[in-house]
Amino acid sequence: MIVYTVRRLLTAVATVIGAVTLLFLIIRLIPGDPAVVMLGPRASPSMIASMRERMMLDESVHVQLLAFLGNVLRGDLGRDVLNELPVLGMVLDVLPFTIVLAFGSIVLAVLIGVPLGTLAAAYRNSWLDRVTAFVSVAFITVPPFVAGLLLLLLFAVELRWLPVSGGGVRGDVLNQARHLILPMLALALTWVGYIARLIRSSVLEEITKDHVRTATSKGLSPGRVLFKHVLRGALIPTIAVLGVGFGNLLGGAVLIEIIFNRPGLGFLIFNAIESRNYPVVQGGLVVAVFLYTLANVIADVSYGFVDPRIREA
Amino acid sequence: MDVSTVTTTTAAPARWRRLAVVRLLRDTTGAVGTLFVLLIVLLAVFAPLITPYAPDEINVLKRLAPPSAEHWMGTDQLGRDTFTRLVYGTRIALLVSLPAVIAGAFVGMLLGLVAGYLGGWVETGLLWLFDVVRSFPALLFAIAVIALTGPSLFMIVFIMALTRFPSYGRLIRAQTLKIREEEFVAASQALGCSPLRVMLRHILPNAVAPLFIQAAMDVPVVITFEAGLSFLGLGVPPPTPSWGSILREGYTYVRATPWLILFGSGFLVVATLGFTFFAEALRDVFDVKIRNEGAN
Repeated sequence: MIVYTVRRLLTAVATVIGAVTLLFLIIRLIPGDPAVVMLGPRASPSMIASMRERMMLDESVHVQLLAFLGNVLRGDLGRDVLNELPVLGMVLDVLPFTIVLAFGSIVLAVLIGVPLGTLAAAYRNSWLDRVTAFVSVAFITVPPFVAGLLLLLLFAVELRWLPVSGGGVRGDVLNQARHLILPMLALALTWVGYIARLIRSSVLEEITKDHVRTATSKGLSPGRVLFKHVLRGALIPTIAVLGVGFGNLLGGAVLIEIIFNRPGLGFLIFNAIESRNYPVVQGGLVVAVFLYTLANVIADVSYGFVDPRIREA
Repeated sequence: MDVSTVTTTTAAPARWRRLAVVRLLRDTTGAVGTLFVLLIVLLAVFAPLITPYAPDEINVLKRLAPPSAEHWMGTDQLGRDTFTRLVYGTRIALLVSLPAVIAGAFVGMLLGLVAGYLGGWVETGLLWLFDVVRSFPALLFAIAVIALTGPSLFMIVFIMALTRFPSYGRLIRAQTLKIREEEFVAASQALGCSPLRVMLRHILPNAVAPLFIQAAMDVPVVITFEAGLSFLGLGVPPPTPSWGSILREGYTYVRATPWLILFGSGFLVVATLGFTFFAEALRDVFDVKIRNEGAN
């Protein structure tokens, strides 16, 4: 297990280094002076000169790349073009909002999706199963930002039950929770669909296994068999999907944060793009890649922990 | 049906394909999906014949009007007909998604084939490349690049193909690994076929079926992606109508009119639902073939 975890971590480090290199190269490959591109047409010659110096543009590309990677490894993601603040600090300031949003959405999706999928499997081919199948597909096919717009239109603008925008008052948990409901629901819906379908099929597969038959013949109640024996096995594939899900939610959160005017990593990066503040864009993306890879590692390792076949592969 | 001969005879594919179409249409979701996909394609092709106005025809006297007999889906902030713009928006959805999916699938297919057949460090390197590209949240990556290069149809297609190719690469690699061990591959190698010929003539035709399903599943993903970029103002430049930019206008004027969001979402959902149903039914139809290929 330790060997597997170490191996997986090393792959993850290689992936992050590759991704940071790719990000670096993309900026260098774009035609024109990167300093001018990053600062925009209104930049003064002195600003461009100082940016060129900071980006070490007069050095060779591999020296620049190594310096960039070294800085990232030390946690130095550069400085904001406008106010000289460290990018890492700016990212860490808004990151909790995104993590709470993504994590909350996953939890909500599991809380709705798992019972829905289990019920559909338990009452296979009934009307309940058919309704669940339809609802799952509908949820999967409605893009989260469209769900966000529709929820905003209904609950915030028309009914006025929930706030339209913002992350809530700092320190006021209840107020922040009210601001979280619609964005969280918009992001969760797609995953409710995925999880319900996944759980349904893995429950149906698990039901046919020997240990479940043994539990049933032992005289356990159907409910007990379902929750104690079937669901335990059926949840395993979901763990792997959740890792990927968390990573995707970070991406999906961008649009949701913008729609609900909510602080977060995506909102920060998007605003930085609008103000051509490229160090913030670059630093934000590095953190996003890191989080995405980390989520995948955690999912893989926990999957390997519960299923020995994975770590042997 | 003996599908193992599909790729080696000429008479069998026609019969098999006919059967596949029949089975696709017999399935309820398959029929609904095919209908929606056909509808979207027809709207895109015959947009000028279907719509009563030009997509960029401005009429400020009728701005943000609700649905009426004159404007079935109301008008936007410039008085342009929403129905017309949404119908023309199907063109952008298809113009972006189809080339992006085809390009991504093509590149991924070739790289996956090479990775699976050659193995060794080539495979390790390519798998690493797939992981690296996949580790970027696609939308953030697209936003960052388009912000630097400026939005254009080509750039959007290019980025989407770039973010999609790793999934095809992994799929074809897995297929290649399986088929590489088959006897007919060993036979062609023994007969002195070059690696290129073995890959393209013997492995690829047998590995490619799941790629079509994956591609069909990817179309709605890319349509949504383009809509998301257009929503952010980073999609196809205005005044070209796109579902995403119409939703953006709806969002900006959300307090004045709900119609832009409601109808814009409707078109987008019909397209994603249609392609998803179509792809899932396609998967079920092809499933027999894939299973048999794996068993043979």
